[in-house]
Amino acid sequence: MMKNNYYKLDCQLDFRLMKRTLTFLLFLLIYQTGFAFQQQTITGTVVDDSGMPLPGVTIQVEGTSRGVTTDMDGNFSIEASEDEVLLISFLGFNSQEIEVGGEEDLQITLTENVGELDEIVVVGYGQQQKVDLIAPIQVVDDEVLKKIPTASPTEALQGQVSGVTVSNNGAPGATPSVQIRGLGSVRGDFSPLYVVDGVVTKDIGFLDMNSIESMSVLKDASSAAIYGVRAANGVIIIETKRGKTGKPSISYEGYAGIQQATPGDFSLLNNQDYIAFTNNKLEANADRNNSTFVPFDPNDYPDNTNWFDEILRTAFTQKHSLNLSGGSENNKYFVGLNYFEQEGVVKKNNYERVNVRITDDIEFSDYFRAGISTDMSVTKIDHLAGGLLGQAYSNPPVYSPRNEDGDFTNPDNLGLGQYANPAATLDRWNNIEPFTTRNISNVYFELMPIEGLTLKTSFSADISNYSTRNYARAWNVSIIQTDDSNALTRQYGRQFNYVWDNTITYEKEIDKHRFTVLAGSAYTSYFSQFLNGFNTGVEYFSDASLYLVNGDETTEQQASDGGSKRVNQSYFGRLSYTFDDKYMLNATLRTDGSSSFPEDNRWGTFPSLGLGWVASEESFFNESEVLDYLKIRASYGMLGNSDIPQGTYILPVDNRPYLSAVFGPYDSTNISQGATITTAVQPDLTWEVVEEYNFGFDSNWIDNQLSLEMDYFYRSTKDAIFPVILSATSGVSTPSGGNDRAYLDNNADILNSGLEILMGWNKQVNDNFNYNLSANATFQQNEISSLQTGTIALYNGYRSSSISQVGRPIGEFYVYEVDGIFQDQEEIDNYVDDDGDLIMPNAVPGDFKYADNNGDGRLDDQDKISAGNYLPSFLYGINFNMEYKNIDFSIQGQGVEGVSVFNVKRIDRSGNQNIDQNFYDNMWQGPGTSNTYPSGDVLGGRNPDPNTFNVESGDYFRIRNITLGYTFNEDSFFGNALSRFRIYASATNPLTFHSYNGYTPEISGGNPTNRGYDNGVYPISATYLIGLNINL
Amino acid sequence: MKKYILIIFLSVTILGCSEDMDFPTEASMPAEEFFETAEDAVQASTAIYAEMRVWVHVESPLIATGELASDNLEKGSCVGCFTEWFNYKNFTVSPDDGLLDAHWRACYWAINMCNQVTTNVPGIDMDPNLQDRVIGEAKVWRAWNYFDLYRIWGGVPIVNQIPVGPEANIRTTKEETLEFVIQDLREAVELLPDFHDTENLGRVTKWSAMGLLAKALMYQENWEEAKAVTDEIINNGLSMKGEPFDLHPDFYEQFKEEQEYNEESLLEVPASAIPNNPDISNNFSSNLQGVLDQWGQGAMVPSDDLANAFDQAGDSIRKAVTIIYRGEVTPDGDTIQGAERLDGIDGTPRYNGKAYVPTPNRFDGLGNFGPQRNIRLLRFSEILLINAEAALHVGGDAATPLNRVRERVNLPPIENPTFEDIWFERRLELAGEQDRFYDLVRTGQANEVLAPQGFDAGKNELYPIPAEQIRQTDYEMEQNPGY
Repeated sequence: MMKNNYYKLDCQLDFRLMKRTLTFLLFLLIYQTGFAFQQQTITGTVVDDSGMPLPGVTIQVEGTSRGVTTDMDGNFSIEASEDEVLLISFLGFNSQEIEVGGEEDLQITLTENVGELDEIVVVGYGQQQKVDLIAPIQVVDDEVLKKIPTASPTEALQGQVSGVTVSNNGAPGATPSVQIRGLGSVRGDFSPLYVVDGVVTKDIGFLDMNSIESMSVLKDASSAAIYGVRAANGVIIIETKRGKTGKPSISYEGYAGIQQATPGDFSLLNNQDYIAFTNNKLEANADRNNSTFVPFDPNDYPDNTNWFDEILRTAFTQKHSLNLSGGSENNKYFVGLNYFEQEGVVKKNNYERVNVRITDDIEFSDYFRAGISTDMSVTKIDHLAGGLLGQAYSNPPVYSPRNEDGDFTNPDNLGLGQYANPAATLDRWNNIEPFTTRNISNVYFELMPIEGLTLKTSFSADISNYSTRNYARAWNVSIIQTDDSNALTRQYGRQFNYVWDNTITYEKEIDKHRFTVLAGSAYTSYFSQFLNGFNTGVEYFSDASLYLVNGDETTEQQASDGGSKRVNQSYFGRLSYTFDDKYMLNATLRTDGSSSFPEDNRWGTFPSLGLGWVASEESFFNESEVLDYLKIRASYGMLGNSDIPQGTYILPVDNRPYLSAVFGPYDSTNISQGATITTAVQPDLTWEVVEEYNFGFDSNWIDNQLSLEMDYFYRSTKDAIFPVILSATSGVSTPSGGNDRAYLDNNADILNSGLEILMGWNKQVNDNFNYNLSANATFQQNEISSLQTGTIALYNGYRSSSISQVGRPIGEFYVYEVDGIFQDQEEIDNYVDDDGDLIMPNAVPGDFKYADNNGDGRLDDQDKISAGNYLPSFLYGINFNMEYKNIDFSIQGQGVEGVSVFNVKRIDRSGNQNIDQNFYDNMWQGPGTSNTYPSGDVLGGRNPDPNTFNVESGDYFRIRNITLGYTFNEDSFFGNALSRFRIYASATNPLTFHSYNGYTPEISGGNPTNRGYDNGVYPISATYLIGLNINL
Repeated sequence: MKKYILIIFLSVTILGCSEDMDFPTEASMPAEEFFETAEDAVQASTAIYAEMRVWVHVESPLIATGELASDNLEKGSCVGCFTEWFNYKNFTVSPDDGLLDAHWRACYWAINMCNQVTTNVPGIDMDPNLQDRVIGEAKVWRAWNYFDLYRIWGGVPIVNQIPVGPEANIRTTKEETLEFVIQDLREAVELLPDFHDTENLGRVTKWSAMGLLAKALMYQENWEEAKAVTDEIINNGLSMKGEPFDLHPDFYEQFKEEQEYNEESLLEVPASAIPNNPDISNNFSSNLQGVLDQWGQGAMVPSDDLANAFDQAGDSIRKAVTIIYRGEVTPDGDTIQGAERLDGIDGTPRYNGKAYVPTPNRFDGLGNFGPQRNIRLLRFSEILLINAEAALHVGGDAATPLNRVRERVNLPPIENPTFEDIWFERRLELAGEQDRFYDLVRTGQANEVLAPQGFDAGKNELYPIPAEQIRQTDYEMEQNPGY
């Protein structure tokens, strides 16, 4: 009886489901059979233009769900009737339509597509054909990326993508700063979001170039809105390499080369010039202070050291990459092994990385697919010795690194001030085992219960661990390079982030209607922790003895730790619709919740809409002979920026160690813990919202040889987080915010607008010769369009020389205007206001004369002028590639304009620091000698106040890369064993044209209100290498 | 069948993956849970002492404004180094000066820490005596910082509670600021104990508050009360260790570490050297003034004018302690070596001996020479001198307290002292202790003494409000006259 009941219940359930299924199938059947008659079996073979069979090609009967793929030998067989049309499509090849007619055995040759219109472009949670694309998404493929031999793939984007500003740092493994479409936030982190194998991350430094198939830069809000609250800075989706159907292939790519710093005209003074410069300075200073001037005697300083020669080197770099891939229709695999090493041009600064990448995609049946990928990397970074570059810039050249006894020279005895001997700093620097291991893995399952419907669940994990040991042994070089503690610091940290995405995609084509619907959810969790330990009195026997337990028995090991956790929860959907291949619509919606914000402000919704029209498909366009293709696009979307530190809205207790004190008799060592509240917060903090409009077109001209794409964007950040400066009298200081006495609030609107242009010229001259030329250009503008009442302009940077204020760009240099140099006392006495009072009463000849722009007789903020900022107003890139017979050649160039750089290293001095040759050669040395450069006394009087002399042009044009390659004929080596054998030589950054007084005008780092300050940047280096590509 | 189950499963996962997004912030203590216990109250008061030993409070800004800008000190340090310090000596400091800005901010950091205590501690359910003590400590330090602000800038915004309101941007008058200092000290006197147990030695006491009150009253020219308060201290006061106040017999020893919190001490900033603990060993005051290239930066060194003043008074004891010359051997056996030349000094290099920490006791770790030396903010000898000055105003016995100070350093007594005698005694007794410039301004001698250095009467009595501070009030805050 019981059993029966169950059975009955089951039956009912089954029956209901069955009924639905049957109805559905019936519908499909009617739909299909309505057009079908007299089907026959068609067989055929698909080959490429060299006659090689193509496996995995999709053969579909147009307007039906009948479809097959070719086998390993390119063969297929399919049921079709005479009046039907077969659609033959394969990724990377031009699709074909073939009328079945009477033919039963078809020989089909697919040509590789060279035009980019048939490209598949990766978009958020899916892919689209370039034809259907409305958003300005630019794809950079691995061939372009691989030309730049660096650790970080983003570095290679420089000059390649319009709308993207990349500032590199010369240190190996350093993360370049990447900005998409201007600066939408005054907060520190403006880098885009990277999506790698489903993992959403801000750091892709672990990725090897050879693991990357392509990078898609989603520039506008309509494409990025699907990533919602984290997409405000733009999104870069990285498609990694996976296996393809075909016979197993093994490829090796490798190179080795050298790197050198490129100082150009820049150099520091030698001993003679340095003493002359210092005496000039002392004389001016003595004059100013009515003190006695006793010059230094050059004969006392016979030694001459170029400190950059001491710390720089010709560095080595190499890379080896082995990829194995292949697969059948049902199982495609990829295995990659990469090794990369880059020495920094600064000694003891190294980067080394090993990557292993494995992917497998399995098709269990027509209904069920699954795949995994995993990328494991071990990175070892020997960081730059702390303070070294600044020391090399500032140290007097007048002493040798070591004295006659072989000990490091103590510069104290020179009477020139206290300096850290850079050679001693470098020698003591000991960074042991700075390892980071990172594993990004993804597993997905796809279910296709009915034609066109795909259910996908995807789980990605990003796990990393790092550890370092830094050992600072006791030393006694000079008064400031002394420490008897033999200190050992150990740091451990781990991160565990995961993403769980679930999506449903339904694709359907009915007559002229083609649509795709996507719905999904994502759950993201970020968690990190670190633990640092410290002890002293650790004696060195070998690296193996460097453990905290081996420290001094009288001291206690000290520890500090921390952690952070953040969770995002999201729901999203997208509709893509194309009618008649002419009209396109793309709409997305994402709802995001982020734990970074207080409970009431946690959820936000981000919509977007894009429209496209292929004008060239209209009948009235057919006559055009020059214009082959024209698509006009418009889009609108909203994005969020939730990247604020976790818990910023929570008022923390400050209990840092320096707040503790010792009470008791003079020899007491009892530490009393101190703690208090030192910050203010905005409890209602919420995310920044970006609203963006994009208008653009894609066009092809002259037999598709010329392509031109243009986009105009208007991007407005609402509720941008802007620090509210509390008057210092509030006593508040934020320890981590970078800006003292400020708390964060959503109180600014920021506007970015610009024009992006991408042009290409592709020419196949003949079978032996083809070339292409491409150029991109970006014009951009940035402005803080409004600030809430009560929020005042934000000063930041070196000596408060930058300002972020309404109606002006973020982080503009705001400085006194130099109106010449006072040549003599008479000029000082004549520089008076309306009342006849001296405007610069304390000045001496050789000082800057600052313009009293508001004419009130005082020099203060109201007299300062804007002197540009570090955001270029124009950036451009040019690429040329050509192939002639077996020779290939390419050249890339890249540049920026409208950039200002603040030359801090020239004026951030406390005494007799060295200075650059250009300053010395031009400085004021008496009446009439210079009306632009001051005397050597740059620290005297009001000379150190930030002024227009300190702000220099950061414009540059750089030859980014030149590559010359030769591909041997297939039969040159080992019979036919090698399918490809190419050797090449390349030069990266060989030449940079700029007028800036420094190693490089490229200054990475700093937050938007505090950028473009050069206080000893890492020199960008030129790399020369030879390389090899072999395919088996 | 399985397909459908999967569809259902996926639908559920899509709609249903909701983990709570409300979890405690990692690695941080929420502030709502602070100021709950007596321990929190004590920790918040401890933090004030820690703040006070940082360089921005007691090092170059305090010495530059109070002493370098006088006839007592010269810039010093290496030739061509830190030449911006000349601006203090020559009265050319501009509103853009970095030291001034740093010091202004620092004073208000400390004031915020005091306000955290005075606002939050009264609400804590704790031992009332301890509660009073903690609030009293905060009031003394708040008063010290406002007194410091008052002497440097005149009237400043008075912020005395959390959260801060619009008062933060509005300057009060000079008189109001000083009155606030006096009021805080009067209240502190009522709250604080006579002295603390050994474990808490160094925390401010009732007598610290009394002493500071006397000094503030002197600036207010409230001589009656200044006399009464100093009399009370002299007759009934107890040192930090609970002994009656007295002058330490040896002027040299007085400034050494062993004599911290001794019978002469009313107020000190506790400083320590804990090996391998740079966070606590962060008082750089001795290092700044230490022998150049031997034990420090050799900055802000005694002038020849000061040396002459000692000679003129026949005061060899205090001269030897206050000024140590290159080549000398100290009583602790150190030979003063270091650089051959000091900037702004034509003769033999010399240093502030009161900041000198002898080698045997010195902790040299991390390039900081002598971080353990406490900063003496108020000594009993100054109480005696205030008493003498007040007595002279109100018609009391000025000779006794003055001669007590002179007697220690073997100087003959002065029977009928004048103001000039007392002021001169103050110069010699307190040289290098951050007081000279304010004394000159207070006593009206500034123009006469400092004009040769560039002092501009009507302007240089006060320093310019830092440009940055005016910016932060959106140009609401008023600048001092002449800048």
